[in-house]
Amino acid sequence: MRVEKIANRQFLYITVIMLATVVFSTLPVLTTGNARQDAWASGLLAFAGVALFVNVIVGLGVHFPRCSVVQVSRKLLGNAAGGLVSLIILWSFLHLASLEVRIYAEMIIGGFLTETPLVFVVGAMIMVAVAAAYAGIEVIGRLVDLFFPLLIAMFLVSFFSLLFEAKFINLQPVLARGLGPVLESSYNTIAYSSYLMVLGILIPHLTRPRKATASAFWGAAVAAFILVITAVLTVAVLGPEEGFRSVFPFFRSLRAIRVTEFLERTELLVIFAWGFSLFVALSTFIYCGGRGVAQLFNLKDYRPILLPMGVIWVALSVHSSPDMFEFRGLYLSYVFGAYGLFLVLFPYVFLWGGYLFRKMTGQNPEEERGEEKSAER
Amino acid sequence: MKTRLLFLCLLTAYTLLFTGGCWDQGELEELALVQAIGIDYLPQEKKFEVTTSIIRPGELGAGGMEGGIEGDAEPMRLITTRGKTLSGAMEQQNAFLSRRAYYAHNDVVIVGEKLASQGMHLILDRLTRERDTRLTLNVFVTGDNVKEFLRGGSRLEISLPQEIRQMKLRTNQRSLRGEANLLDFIRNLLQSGQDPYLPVVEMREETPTSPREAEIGETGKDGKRENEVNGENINGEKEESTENKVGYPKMYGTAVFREDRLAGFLDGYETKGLLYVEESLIDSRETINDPEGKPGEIVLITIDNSSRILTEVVNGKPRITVKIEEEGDICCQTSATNLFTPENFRRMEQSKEEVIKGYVKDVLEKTRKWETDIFGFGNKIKQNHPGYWEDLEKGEWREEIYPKLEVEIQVESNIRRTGLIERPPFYEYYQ
Repeated sequence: MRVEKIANRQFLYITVIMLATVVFSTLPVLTTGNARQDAWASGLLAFAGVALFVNVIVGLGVHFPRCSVVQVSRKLLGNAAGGLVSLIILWSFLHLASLEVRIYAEMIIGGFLTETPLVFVVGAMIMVAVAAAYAGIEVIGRLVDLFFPLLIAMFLVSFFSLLFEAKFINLQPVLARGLGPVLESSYNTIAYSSYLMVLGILIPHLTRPRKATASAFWGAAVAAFILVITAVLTVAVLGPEEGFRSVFPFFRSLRAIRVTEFLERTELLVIFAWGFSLFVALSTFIYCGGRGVAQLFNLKDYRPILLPMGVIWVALSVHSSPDMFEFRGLYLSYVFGAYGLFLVLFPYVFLWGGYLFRKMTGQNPEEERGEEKSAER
Repeated sequence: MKTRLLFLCLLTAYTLLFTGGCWDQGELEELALVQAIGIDYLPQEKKFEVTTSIIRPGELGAGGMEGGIEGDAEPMRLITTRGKTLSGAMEQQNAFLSRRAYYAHNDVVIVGEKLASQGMHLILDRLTRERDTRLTLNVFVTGDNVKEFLRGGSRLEISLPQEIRQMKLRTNQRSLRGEANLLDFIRNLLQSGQDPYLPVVEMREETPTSPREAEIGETGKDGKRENEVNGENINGEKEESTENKVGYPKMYGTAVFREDRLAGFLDGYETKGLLYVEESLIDSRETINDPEGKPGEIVLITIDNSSRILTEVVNGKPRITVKIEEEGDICCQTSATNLFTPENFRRMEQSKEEVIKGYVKDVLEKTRKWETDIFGFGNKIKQNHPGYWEDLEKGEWREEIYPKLEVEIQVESNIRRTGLIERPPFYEYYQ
């Protein structure tokens, strides 16, 4: 079977979308912690953290350009331990994706379709994601090529329309209370780098896998750029206090403006942008999940298990929390921050440990460049 | 191939089925479009009284096509209900409606004086939590009876809510009222060291231009209004009372809040002081005396204005400098002085500076009495001297420092142009 290939450019776009989707909509740099008007600084700090994790996650992957992270963990830690470690990674795909689709559904239901059942919104999103994953990563890659310019255009238009109401004086005083609150607010955002673990599965599908770190790094930089601008404009429009009180601050700031009499309600652009990027993120998640499970259990093809996985996913998303209170509780800094960091650190500490151990004991763990081994399975 | 075709057909059918909407579909003819909400508080019953002004679809459509109110009935339906909370009172409205009340197109909220003095927190949460209202909502305070106010007629637009909405939108910056909507109010309220303000609307009774209008406004006659209209201070004339008087809206002055409670009202001239500091005034006309002391006055327009608030803390005491820079033209002269000498120009500029300083001082004096900082001096100090601000106790700024705060007002006026004529067309001028 041929290995599906995506360009590094598409890989970069996917990185941006994975990171930016939830972060720009819920804006954890502003709504968690205590940074208030210094949310943009938290965004910059978070970028530093995410860049570190890019090196942890993708940095290991580039040593094995033909293996996904599941195969790498078996190679480094042996069949049993490696399987267990990769189970944690696969679990994180399932859980993070279910949370992400739940946030989107909560926004749709809270903001527009109050009477629509949750399971319908979640199910519809997951169904199209499964369909996209069924078509394969090449299709998702082309989709991203199509969506990404649109996405950027939508962001630019909404940023531009926010400029009319922005009062940048709201950003003062700058860093008046020191770096403590800024650090506190960036903690949660750094935990979103757990979303980047899908890149570990995607690396063997790249046309130039050895350049993956640079692509992922630039992706994270673009996402951080979007985040910082979003934070600045939201604070400038809503003020730090009202922004802190909002569930979806960026969305709310767009609802709060009227560009001119005939150009209002520009928040629709953001909802579309969010929907597009959520679709891409979800299909990437389920594709990587399906691939990972197939590789773990030595299945020939990942496609037959996508639909059952989707069903489990819908159920998990709907039943993971009964109400918004509990759901928001999960996104508190000390819950999600710790959980997200655990999801990345736990498997990767073992993987890097195994890698360095093998390197020191003289067994070359890296693949040889000429080795002909399929990344399939 | 065939299965693929079948699949496509099924997909199309599926999309058609669901894009129409299932649970949340809403048709325009199922909605009652609310155009204005009036909210007041009844202190004895401890209840909210909500009056909504809803478009009567047939009337407004027909009237709008022909450029005026042509129908025999009023364009709006008014419903007044009461309840323990704003939401509760709004729910009661459903008893009178054949359609679903739809608030998303509402742009005007009129808040009664009693509610405003009770505290805006009673309604702010409802206005910001639910999805059917936006932060662009225009909120006004009125000293009149809210219910009676909404019964008023309109002179230029098709209905009273439309008229208020257009007044707010179109005469922006040319007006004698505080410029603020719900977002500004909340932003100022949540900012420490700043108090919010809102524009004021009031009712002014006039004889309608045609008897037809009198019929339309007839509902406004019954029921005695609680407050006497005090809106005669612009031209001072009181019209004779006849049977057919109709109330028309007037937007004039500023309601000043202390935190979320109404502290008092500024009239139009005092509002100018606020607007000069907020940089949101153009086309304002200031009258000054003749520079050589001859009888007659000179009127100057303000075309452009900018302001800065500078802060410093000296020996633990804050000092504020307000710098206002404005430029404008001469727009009217009733005296017979030759204005075109360098001295007279400078004198005119100085007198204009004094007039503007007077406006700002008036507001400052009043707000010091009310202990409310609508200029946001405290906020500026917080931004520029965060260390000093941290050391203040809660309430200390408003109650102790602000009333005695040292404020220096510097105004720089520039008269740039003279209009289309240089000398007034009187013969005295040449004598």
